[in-house]
Amino acid sequence: MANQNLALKIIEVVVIGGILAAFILPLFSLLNKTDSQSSPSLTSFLLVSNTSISEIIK
Amino acid sequence: MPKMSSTIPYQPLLLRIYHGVSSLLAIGALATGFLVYNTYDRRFGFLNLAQLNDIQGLHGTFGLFFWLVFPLLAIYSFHWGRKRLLAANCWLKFTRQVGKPIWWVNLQRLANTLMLLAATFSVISGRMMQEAWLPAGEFHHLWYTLHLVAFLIFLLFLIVHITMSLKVGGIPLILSMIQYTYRPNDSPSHWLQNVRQYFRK
Repeated sequence: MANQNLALKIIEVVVIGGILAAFILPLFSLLNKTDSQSSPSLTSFLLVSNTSISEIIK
Repeated sequence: MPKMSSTIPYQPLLLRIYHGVSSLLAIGALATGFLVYNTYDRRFGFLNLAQLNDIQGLHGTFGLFFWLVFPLLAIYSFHWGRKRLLAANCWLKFTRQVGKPIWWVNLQRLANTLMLLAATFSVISGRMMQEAWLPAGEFHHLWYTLHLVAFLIFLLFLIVHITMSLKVGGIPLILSMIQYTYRPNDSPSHWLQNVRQYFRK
């Protein structure tokens, strides 16, 4: 049982961590491209996370 | 070969909803993903298909909605659907009783688990892609290469997942995932109570 818990727990951490990383990693790249005064909204992040904020404002 | 059951097994309603929605979105993402490749890249072969405008946008929409639904399926699978994932002492079971029904069941559970990992890989690599890369012919980006690999792995594991399900439960198991009837104790009105009970354990 301990083996199952360990193997499945590791996979669970990888999957849930991966889902969170899929949210956080693009956010970092978005913030890097963001103008210093602007801050990204959640909506713009979800829909156009691969576009810089200056492009969104345009 | 495992004995095929002639009756359709019961699957929890919540599992059927999460599995149904995410599988439709995943298949949509796979199909449109191939069309994106077929439109812009074509380095490893191509099909003469009609080129759709803004196919990247459609692929991104499937991917985005899959990414939003997938956590629900993952959380359900790791908590309430644990018995369908990697079994205890799985490596011992793979080396013993080879070819027996229990061996195939363990392979199916491994295939289910691998699907979750493949989906995670696809979601991460897809989120790191940028829409401008492919129209500009920039195929050298690491995240694009990883997303291509994720596409192939996801497709392979999807085939294995369906094949193992057919091998273990046959058509009735496949049909059990697309039933819309549910037992009274599986009614949506009991879901909140079931969640509370789970966390009290």
